[in-house]
Amino acid sequence: MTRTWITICIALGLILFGLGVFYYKAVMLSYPITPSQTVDSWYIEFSSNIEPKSRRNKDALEFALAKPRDNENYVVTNLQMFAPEFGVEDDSNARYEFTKRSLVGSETILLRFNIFAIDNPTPIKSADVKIDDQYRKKNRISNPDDKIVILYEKIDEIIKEAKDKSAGPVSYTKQIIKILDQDKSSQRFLIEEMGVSSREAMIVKLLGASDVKARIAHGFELQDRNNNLDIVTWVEVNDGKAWKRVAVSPAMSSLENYYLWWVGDHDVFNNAESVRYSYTLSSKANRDGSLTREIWMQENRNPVLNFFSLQTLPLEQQFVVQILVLIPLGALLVSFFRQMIGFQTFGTFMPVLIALAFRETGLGYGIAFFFGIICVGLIARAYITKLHLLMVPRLSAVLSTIVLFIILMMLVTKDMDISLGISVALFPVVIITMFIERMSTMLDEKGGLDAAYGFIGSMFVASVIYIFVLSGYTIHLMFVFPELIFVSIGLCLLLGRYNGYKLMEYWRFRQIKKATS
Amino acid sequence: MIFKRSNLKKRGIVGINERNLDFIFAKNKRKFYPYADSKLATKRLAESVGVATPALIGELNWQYEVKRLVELLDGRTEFVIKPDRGSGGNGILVISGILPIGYKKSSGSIASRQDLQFHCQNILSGMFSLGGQKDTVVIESLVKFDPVFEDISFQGVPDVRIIVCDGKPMMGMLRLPTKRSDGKANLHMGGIGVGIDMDTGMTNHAVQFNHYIERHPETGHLFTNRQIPGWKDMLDIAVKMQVASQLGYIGVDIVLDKDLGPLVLEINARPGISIQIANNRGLKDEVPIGESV
Repeated sequence: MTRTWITICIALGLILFGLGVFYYKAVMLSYPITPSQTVDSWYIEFSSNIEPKSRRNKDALEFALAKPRDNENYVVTNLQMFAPEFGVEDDSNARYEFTKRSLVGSETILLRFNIFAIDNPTPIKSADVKIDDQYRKKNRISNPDDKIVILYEKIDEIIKEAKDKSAGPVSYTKQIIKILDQDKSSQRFLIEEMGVSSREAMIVKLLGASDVKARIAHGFELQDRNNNLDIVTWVEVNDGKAWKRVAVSPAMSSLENYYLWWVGDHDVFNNAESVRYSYTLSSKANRDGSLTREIWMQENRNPVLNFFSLQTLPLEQQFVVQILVLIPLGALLVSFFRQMIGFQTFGTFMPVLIALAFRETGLGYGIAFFFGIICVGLIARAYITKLHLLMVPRLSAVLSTIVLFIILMMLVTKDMDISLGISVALFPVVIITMFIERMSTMLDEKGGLDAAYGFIGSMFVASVIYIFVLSGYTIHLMFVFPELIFVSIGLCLLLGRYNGYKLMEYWRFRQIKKATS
Repeated sequence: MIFKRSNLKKRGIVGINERNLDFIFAKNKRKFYPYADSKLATKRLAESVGVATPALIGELNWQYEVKRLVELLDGRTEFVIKPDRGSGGNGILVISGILPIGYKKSSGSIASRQDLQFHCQNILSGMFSLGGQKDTVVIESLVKFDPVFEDISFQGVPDVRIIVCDGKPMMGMLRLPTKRSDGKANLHMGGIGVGIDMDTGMTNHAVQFNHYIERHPETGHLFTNRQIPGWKDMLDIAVKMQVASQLGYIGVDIVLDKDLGPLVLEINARPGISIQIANNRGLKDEVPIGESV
């Protein structure tokens, strides 16, 4: 048997295996082939590092972490908590209590859960909040000292102005916040004199003084693919029927898509004064429809398939794997364009990497940016070549020039409304430098024309990969059906034994026929 | 229109994929590549089978040896300095005479002794070798070109490339430098390829950048119907080199010296496929097809 036939057999085997598993999962187990259009569930991961504030503090620790719970808009499922170094008490519904005799180094607490949006929000009975009426007229001290008098006057002044301009509890709260925003000095004064720790707490006290039921709420925005979410704080007021959200800072525009995590005037960790902590909060929209719900609910019909399911990985790894599964497809496309069409590209991997860089800059800006950088690189190189430098130091000098140019671009675009400046992260810079290096080597070895073809080819293939491979649809397909990588390998093997003409060779040899006639 | 697959196939045209898979991968074993990649190795190989090459004046392997250059060149007026593993004709310095002010380069400009030494240092540090690996300087005596191709070449070095496969010469091409190709005979840099009839050694079609042309763009002379002197000898030389190198499919580059006759310049383990256009026929017309074991 010749090499070609052996290759074809192996390739067909791989392709059939991949397609078989795909068929089984898609048809027999009805895994979703397309991503669901509406997102109604999210993966959330909260991981926190706890370390003692001082090394000498050997006191026993006791602190609490707010527990994610169902609320009127969302249901929490599959809640998992990992804190192997702590004693954990989970009897209350609202929080985890952590205890430890003494904390020596830094320890991790990990919380992982899924959130589903409820179609018809139903009011949920939450613990009743008493109105914080410390500053109501009837509760005020009769013989206050001067400072308290000023405080009372200030409160009355704000209440009066806000009442004047508002129609209900929500607009009333908004007016109060607006007044406070305009008058930073009295805001500082109020926080200080009331002896509260935060602006939100002060607002709740102001609302209480005018008999409005209010509470401090904390939560986060449900986003797709964000591994650096912030926990934000807002104020909720009760209009008699339900709790209404009011943003306390102009930066928070709409609170509609926020998950309410906990209520009260404390941070995510409560009583945690003796420790220092930092956290990362990640969220990812779940577009896999019923599939993951099935996995989470542990109704596994096939434990083997579920073991190989990428949805069971931790979130941060899922972000990486989502890209990783696309690389074989990108490489396959590069092989196709090179072997069958006849494009020249810089290396095999380069167009895939460029496509990944486009993810950060967008296609239009990305190509323009690459083009600009290449021009600068070539000008720099053209001059440096005259100096007759050795190759490696010469490339280093060219790269340094390009880094300067990138920094310049960032500075120039900083004030413009172009996302380019920010989005040129470290990763694309590395790719660009590699690109320049390959381009320079090609220029050296094969001349300008070939380098230009290589540039055009690389950009074209990278754009195709960006458009077709890095699309939401393909990401979903490859992520849910990673067995398709076998198909990709099979096709690569077949391409590797393709000895027919490249499309461009019909063009290259077009003259041959002419001369015969 | 360009999809007329059958035409190319019928003519036995070999594409790049097929060249790689069925000729280079199948017939050329990696361990024999050095015979083609290193000019010194090629030279020794040629000597071993009694094929002439330009005379070796000396070689330099280390930076400290560069001082020996003057001593090596003592009394020589015509010589070539080239990198052992250079590619695409880069780094080749041709000196055609000595003037009181320095060495006369073939392009007409003057190089000082320091310039020559600097050039050697660059070669040694890998400036002209693929991937920047450390290289060796090769100094050869200058070929005195047979004037037979003078009116159809511009500066530079005209040579004859013969493709040999498994002991059989397949195709030949006269490669002529132009102004465009900067004195180099490489086709993809703008050199001109002229097809040669295998039986008679007469030139037929000429191509530049994959287009047929009739006259040399600089000299204006016709390419066709010229007899290659000593054609049969060249074919013999090419076959000898192929057999000796143990590479199954190579291109042999031969220059014609007016005193010494044909000399092998280098051999190429990955010869290009444009030669088919110059000859207006496909390689597979002639090459026995089939994979080696």
